[in-house]
Amino acid sequence: MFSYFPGNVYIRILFILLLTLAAEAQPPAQNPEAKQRALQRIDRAQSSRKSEYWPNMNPVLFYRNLRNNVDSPLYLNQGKPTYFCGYAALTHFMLLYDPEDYVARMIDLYTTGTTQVTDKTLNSSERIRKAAGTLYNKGVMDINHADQMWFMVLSENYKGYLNLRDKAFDPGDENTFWAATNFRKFNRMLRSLTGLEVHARGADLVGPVFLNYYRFCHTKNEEHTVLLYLNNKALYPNKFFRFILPTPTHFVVLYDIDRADGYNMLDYWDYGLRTKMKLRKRKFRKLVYGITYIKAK
Amino acid sequence: MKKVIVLFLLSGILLSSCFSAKIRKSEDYYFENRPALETLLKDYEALYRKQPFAIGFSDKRFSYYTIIMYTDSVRYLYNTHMNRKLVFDEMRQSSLTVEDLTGIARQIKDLKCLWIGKNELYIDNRKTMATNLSFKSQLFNRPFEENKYYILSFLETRMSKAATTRRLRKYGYHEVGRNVYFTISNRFR
Repeated sequence: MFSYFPGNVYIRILFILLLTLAAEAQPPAQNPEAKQRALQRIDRAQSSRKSEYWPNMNPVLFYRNLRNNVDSPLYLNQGKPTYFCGYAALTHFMLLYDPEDYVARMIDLYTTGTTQVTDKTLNSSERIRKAAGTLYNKGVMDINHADQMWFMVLSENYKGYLNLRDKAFDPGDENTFWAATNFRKFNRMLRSLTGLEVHARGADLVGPVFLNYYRFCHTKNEEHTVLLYLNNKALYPNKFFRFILPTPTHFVVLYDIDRADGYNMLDYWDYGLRTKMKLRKRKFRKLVYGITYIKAK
Repeated sequence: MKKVIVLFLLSGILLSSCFSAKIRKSEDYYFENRPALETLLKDYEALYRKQPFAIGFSDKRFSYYTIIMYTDSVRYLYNTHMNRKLVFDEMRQSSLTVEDLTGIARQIKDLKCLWIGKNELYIDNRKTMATNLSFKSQLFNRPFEENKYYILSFLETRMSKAATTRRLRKYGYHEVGRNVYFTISNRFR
């Protein structure tokens, strides 16, 4: 099956690969002072008293989750099979560039059930207050009570056309279109939560037509943070489905993009880890629908 | 006349794919294939200790492999559909040998297993690792229904049986043996 491995060619490829590994880009680092201030804020707020607004949330799990997110944003995980990927991607961005503000919003929400962002007040309904802390069979998100609360509050306060049919939360809605995020809503949330200037190319059904995706992402990634809206089914290709709808389904934070051996080498964050993969050039064009870039690096 | 025959044949194929007499996979599947499943599991565990990874197929004919290698902060994604030689050359940078991968690939192909990998399960806020094996379910080839997968789950940690079984039943798992459960899911990974 895999029994052919001629020597010379592979030794050369191996050498090139080792060189590329040695020179690989590092993931974006947090500002150490901002991170320290965020951790101090958690220390000051930490208490074992249950919040009167969130009856099913465990305070120990809440503060542990908050601390872990600030300490290692890489491990933020939206769980499977939820529709929280858009909220997770923008939270990962917030944790990298303004962890202090993120912590302030979270503690506000936990202690008062509401918080103020740049252009609106985020409120929480009775339904999601009861549901936060009870989600199960979602992997590590089962014990990440802060993430459960935050993602549900975002789902409830920002609505796009995908959420029109189902506006009120019912148990299990975290896996349905109640929690889904379209491209426009995603960019609106980023502006609203961070107050930064957010630029975007692309749309929900068609990616930017006259654009060299690789060159654009590569150039923008030098000075901006790039977030991609893409088709996850094409990212993890399989032919088990008869019909794969050519639509975007997933948000990721791009760490690096490069070209070697005729392939695009993609390095991005999603599902609590950094993912590295090689893609054919045409494939990359096929899977990307939206490119968001923010001058914060 | 030819058109009528072709139409007749096509409708026959369509109908046969909608109605099938095959038996649904259940706990019997585990007992019938137990020796092969346990060998696969043992071999996978041994390789996983050398290098955490998950492996499976990306097509119905079991020709192309998808492999995910894990380190503590990075997952490397490979698919042999892209460039078989390049993928397995990159694999050589890991602790796994070509023989290791060949062996496990042959085993999952023989069992027609779509995917083998580990997942985290949280029961009463305690983490336990489970090795999951996914197979095509009975409904797999029906054209107008969502694909379903039969997943065998082998829990690593022994927990108090009553509590574990009760909680896992809530998650949709059915017990088939000591620390072995099966579930039907619309996701194979």
